[in-house]
Amino acid sequence: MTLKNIRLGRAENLSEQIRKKHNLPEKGLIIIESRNPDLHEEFKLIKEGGIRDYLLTLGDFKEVEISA
Amino acid sequence: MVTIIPCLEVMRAVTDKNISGSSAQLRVEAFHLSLDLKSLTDVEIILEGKMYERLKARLEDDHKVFFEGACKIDNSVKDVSTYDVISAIKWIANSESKINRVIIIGENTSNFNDIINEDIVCVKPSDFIYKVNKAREIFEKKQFTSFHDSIIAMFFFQI
Repeated sequence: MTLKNIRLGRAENLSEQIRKKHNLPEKGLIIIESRNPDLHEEFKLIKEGGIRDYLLTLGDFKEVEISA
Repeated sequence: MVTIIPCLEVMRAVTDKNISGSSAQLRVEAFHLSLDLKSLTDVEIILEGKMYERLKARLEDDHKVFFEGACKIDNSVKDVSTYDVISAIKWIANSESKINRVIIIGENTSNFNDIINEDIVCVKPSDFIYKVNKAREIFEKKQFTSFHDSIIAMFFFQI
């Protein structure tokens, strides 16, 4: 499934129903991924300092040198 | 509103296949905290367009969806050949500062000395992390009525 967009959000701003459905805690940074062709949303909790770990779940970075 | 602009060295660390060293970890942590702030308060993250073009060589399509969704890619000076990434960030920061306060995150803060004023600051990743955590602390002690105000106070006023 292709990732089409992402939104940043807070678990504390979601309804309890959505938190329960997606097994989310009461607080924390979350990323809402929208995928298609079957419209599909995934809610992912990003742990403290964990943005790189999240990005690596989307794929490895290519080994390309970027000069200053 | 606050605009956060990470410099190239920060984004290089975030997208480095083989990250190593405590400095690189701090840069990644600073970017993480920027996203955290965006989710908590009135903050926008801008990635300078020339810099992003270079970063794209490291990214898979899903990474691009992430960065283009979570951050604003500013291509204001993309086709201006006389601008490098630093001068482009300066130009964007000056432009943004007309309507927002601007925090540039970079290791070489002296690169931006000529544009620093009451609305633009440049901080090292370690200082950014310290100030955000301190802002959180003073907000929790109810010294400010909003987290946004405590961020403004920590970065733009000597408290």
